[in-house]
Amino acid sequence: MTLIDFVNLVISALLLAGIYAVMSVGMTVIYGVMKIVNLAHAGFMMMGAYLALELFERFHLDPILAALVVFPVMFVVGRTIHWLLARWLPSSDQPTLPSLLLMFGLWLVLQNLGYLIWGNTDRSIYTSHTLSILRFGSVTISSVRLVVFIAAVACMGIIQIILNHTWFGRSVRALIQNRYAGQIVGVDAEKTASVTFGLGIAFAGLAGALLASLYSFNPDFGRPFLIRAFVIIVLGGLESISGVAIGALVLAFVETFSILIVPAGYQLAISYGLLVLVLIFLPGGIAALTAKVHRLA
Amino acid sequence: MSETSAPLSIPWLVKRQNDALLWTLLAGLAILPLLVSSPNLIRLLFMTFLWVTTSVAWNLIGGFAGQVSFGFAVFYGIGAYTTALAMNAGVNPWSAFLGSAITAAVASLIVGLPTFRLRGPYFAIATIGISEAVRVVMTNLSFTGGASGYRIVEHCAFRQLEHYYAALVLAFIAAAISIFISRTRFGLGLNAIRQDEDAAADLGVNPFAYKLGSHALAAALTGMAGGVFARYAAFIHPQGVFGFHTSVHILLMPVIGGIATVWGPVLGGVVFGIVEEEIIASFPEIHLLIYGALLILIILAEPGGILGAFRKLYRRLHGKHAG
Amino acid sequence: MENTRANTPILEVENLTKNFGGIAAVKDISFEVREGQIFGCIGPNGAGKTTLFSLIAGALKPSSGRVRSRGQDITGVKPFRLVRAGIARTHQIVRPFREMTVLENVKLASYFGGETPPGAEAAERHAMENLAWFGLDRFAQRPASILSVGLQKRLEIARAMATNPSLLLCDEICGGLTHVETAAMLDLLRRIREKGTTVMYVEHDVKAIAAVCDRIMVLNYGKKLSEGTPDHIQSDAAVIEAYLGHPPVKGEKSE
Repeated sequence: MTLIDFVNLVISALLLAGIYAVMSVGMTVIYGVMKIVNLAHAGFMMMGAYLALELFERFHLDPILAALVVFPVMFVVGRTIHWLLARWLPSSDQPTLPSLLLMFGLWLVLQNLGYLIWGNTDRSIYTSHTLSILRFGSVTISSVRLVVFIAAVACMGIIQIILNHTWFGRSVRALIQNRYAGQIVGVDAEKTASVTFGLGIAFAGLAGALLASLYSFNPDFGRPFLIRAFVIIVLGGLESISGVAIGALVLAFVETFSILIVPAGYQLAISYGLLVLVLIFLPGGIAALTAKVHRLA
Repeated sequence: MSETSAPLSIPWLVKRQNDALLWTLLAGLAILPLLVSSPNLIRLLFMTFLWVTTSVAWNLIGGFAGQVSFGFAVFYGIGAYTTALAMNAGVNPWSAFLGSAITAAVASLIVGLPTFRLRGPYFAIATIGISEAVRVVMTNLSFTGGASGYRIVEHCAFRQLEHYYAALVLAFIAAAISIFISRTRFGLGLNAIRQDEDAAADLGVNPFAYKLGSHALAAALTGMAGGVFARYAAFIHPQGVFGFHTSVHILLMPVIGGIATVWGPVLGGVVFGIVEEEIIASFPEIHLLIYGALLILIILAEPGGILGAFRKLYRRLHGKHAG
Repeated sequence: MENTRANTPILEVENLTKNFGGIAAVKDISFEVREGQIFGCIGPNGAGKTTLFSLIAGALKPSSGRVRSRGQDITGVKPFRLVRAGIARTHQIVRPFREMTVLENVKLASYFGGETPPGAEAAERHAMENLAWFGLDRFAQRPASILSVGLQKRLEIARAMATNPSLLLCDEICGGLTHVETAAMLDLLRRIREKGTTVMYVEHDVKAIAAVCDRIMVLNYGKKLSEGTPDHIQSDAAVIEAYLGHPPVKGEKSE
């Protein structure tokens, strides 16, 4: 393998990591604040993708711009779902079986609504940019991927700003660490949870819309991404936003470079296998590993 | 378990005196094909018996022991392919079914050993990962036909009744095992593990061994169901027997019927079998949608499922007693 | 009678240490509990009592040191195996099985607490006897969730005792009880000792410990500060300083 090939692979992996990170951040934030494992995440990604599709086909809106529209729409959807369903779940500092099953049921509903409305044939969004390639010397990058990556990084940046420099962000961090204590010092848990849920769903939809410009999709396309999101947030330590970035990088690199070793059909199995391995050997994620190393040092 | 400790059971159904009712039911179902000759009905009942089996089986580990697996299709699929491969190699069906039970049980140990130290949702997520990984591998494995599936060639005529009775006996065995466990020390131990694993360990229960044990039983039964199905269908493919929707169905039934009870999963299996066959014919896209909505409704309104709703009704009609 | 039984250490802890990160929650603790005693362990908050308890009860693995029972090494042994070795524990925050009846809670212990599992009737009989001894038999068929906290604490002990332990580890069982309830609980411990079970009792309340224990060990900052009879402990200058924050004024005893 030549140096150029290697560089191309690395860039590929980096770009992939960006989109993976955005995809997982929504799930992390919901889990951190409400201890709900959002199995319906895939369903909301699907919604985002199909919303982008509709916007593209009816209004000829470029998918990247469509993503900007999808975000607030999905935010409203998220808060509505929280109001309708999620707020009835018993709050706990441990994930509960009812929450798991509820989100699972929601995912089934969303996915099959998708099948009903849009059918099960693969759809995709082709714009004039879809196939354009940028060249830097002998290194080639798909321009759509690059734009998506930039959008993803921007999102992560915005989240960091929100979390670290706003009152809301501080409330979120307080609830993540200790829900009870957060309430005692004046955090409105209900409202914060509702907004967080909305944000989580909004990011899921956004990720879906961005992904729609990269891949073809059907209502079930969320599932492999859901599992990838699990890998990422477990790798990242389940409650840490920066951990998500680490997890996304690890997964993206493992997936990209595994093409060299295994035939393409098995690639998904590698991701799934990685998930199981991480759950078993690194339950605290890489964050716990680095913390341990830090302590020993 | 006494009435109050199995809060979702219908009291008069689990008392020992009423075992006679069950034998009557079994006899009735056994004679049925001789009285009614409708291949459609037989097929419907056949599938229902298989669903009851997987439902009751899953409940052993997911309900009784509280370890919710979202990937039970992996055992169904392993059982299906084991029977298929064995029969094509000349093994008689009944030994093949036994083989399916064994391979599924062994697989359950491989799955359980690393994953049972995970708690709650981590375990659930791991089971999804494992099941999906196996499905992807099987889709690519050429000697079992890969995505195109695998055919069983039987050199004798298709006798529908043979399949019917195989499924009936299997469902009966599953139900009997479930009833038996619920009445013994093993069942009490599992119940304790479900409610508070650490407190159970502090009283002498070995949680790991118990989880592995009920998991193996559940997997063996599910594997046999997969095998019986494979022989009937004579054609299986990874998307079907290893499919995620299969895992969904397997877990839906006990939840809808009444999780962690003895009769809830049976009820769930029956309802599912009948409704599924009818709905799939008329509204192929909607059935999962309905199940999703039902699941949401159950979680929010009546976590005890259909059985839980019945029990509340029963209590209201008979007034509160003994508790 | 007391002397012959008091010769066998039913619990031997040797240089037990537990580190969390860079901090030693328990450092180099050694002591012995002899059969037939009620052995108490007290100390101010953060002294390491709970950690020590968890180490002995198998909930935590020690960083170094050994725990032995009647010569058998039980360091870091899993909780369910400790039960087989004759050691049972209660929890500071009670953990009854809420979806089971009171009888079933105890029956579980009867089933699993012994070397060989008894049959169903034997287990039921054993559980009922246990409930009667603890005065809980009238609740036998009720769900455990309906008991008051005081009764749930009693159920917790009853359950642990149904495993027929030779050593019972009690974790702050008097927390949140009234004076009357505390006195009843201490009386229960005395009756348990009379029955033949040794008790190791970790507690925060000095009065309670002093009233019921034969021997007391005081912890502070993870280390053993003092050990002796209740009178000795209460007049020990170091103990008084640890609890009150200043050296003893003449005539002052630690209350």
